[in-house]
Amino acid sequence: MLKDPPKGNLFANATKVQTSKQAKNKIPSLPVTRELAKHLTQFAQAKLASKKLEAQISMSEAYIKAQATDLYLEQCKKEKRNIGSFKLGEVTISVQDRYAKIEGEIADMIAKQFPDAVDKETQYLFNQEILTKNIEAINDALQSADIPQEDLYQLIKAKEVTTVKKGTIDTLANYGEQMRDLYLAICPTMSMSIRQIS
Amino acid sequence: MSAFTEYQTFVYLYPPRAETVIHPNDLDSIGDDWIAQPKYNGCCSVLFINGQKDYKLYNRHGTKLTLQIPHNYIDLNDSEKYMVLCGEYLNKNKKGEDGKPFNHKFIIWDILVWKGTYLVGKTFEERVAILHELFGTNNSRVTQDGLMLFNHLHTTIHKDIFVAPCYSGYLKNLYEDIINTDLYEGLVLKNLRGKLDPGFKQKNNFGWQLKARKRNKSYPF
Repeated sequence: MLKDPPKGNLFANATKVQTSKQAKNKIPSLPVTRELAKHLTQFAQAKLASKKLEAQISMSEAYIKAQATDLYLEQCKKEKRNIGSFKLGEVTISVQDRYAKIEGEIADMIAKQFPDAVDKETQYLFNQEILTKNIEAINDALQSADIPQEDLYQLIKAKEVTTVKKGTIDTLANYGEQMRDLYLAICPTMSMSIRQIS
Repeated sequence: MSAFTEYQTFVYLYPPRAETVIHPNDLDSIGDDWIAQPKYNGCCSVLFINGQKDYKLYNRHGTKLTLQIPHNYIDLNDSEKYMVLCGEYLNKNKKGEDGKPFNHKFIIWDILVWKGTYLVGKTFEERVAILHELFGTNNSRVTQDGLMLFNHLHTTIHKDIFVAPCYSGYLKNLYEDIINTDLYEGLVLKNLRGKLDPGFKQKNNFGWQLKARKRNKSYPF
């Protein structure tokens, strides 16, 4: 026999679906042999020690990089040239002719201050939505112009891209008192390596 | 003087941010020229106040902070020129010192631009001195219900805007005390002699900052 339908709001009376969340949260513990227990302890201890060492490396790296930047700029100024790589104790520091991406208003600000250090170009990109929408017509030939006028206007997007000119690092020494500003603006890649101890 | 000192029109500046994490047990051996500020659990934000006209509150990724309510930030500016403040916007429903949710507050912890000057080259100590001069170091407020006292917040003229206090010495004890509050994630350590470099990329000014934070999945200690 069919049950009477519940009275009142159907949604409020709906049967709640049991979720398996509780079961998922409970991770079962499996038996461990003495040998496995030894390795588990070693693993946990090594993991902890490695986290501590990672923090130590990153702390020293940050400090060394800040100091290395100052020393590098000072030496470039003194020698009136890009000294490139140099040694600090056992560590070799390389300042490369590769730069961080610069965008938006910051790019404009750097371009205004150091026009010789940056290249500006406009890249024209297809609006993917409109391209897909009109792919057949475009495929046949853009000239056949089987594209709505309003889409045609929006078909190509312009994007202004600012990049640091290749070789800017070699011109750094020409900037006198503004050397540090330019260096911080263009952020050349600085890598650190240590001689392998055999 | 830096080539970027003049700040007259809006240009997004990335906030200085600590990247390196140290173990809380190492806090007391950090050295005398390091001070600590509480690490608040909110959204790291940058507040651009354009004279007495308007303001923009952005997150640390360079976009407008979505979950925010308006505050009268303009009153914080003491000039007709730009002021840029870094702080934590609290919008994560974390519980404050009284155990109640402490939301939609802004806690200032650094100043980047003052009176239209980008403070590039100024040390953290010099910038903190500016904050103290502007906002004082009072940790209480008189309300309708009486005197409100905060342990780890300095008050301003606005009830929803605070300044992070700076501490030195016995940092391990401070850490142990501070992490009992939901809102506080640990400590950010800053070298008083750390000079401000331009914030033109997300990772900047990390050489003079460290953090010690509560244990979690990423930081199991």
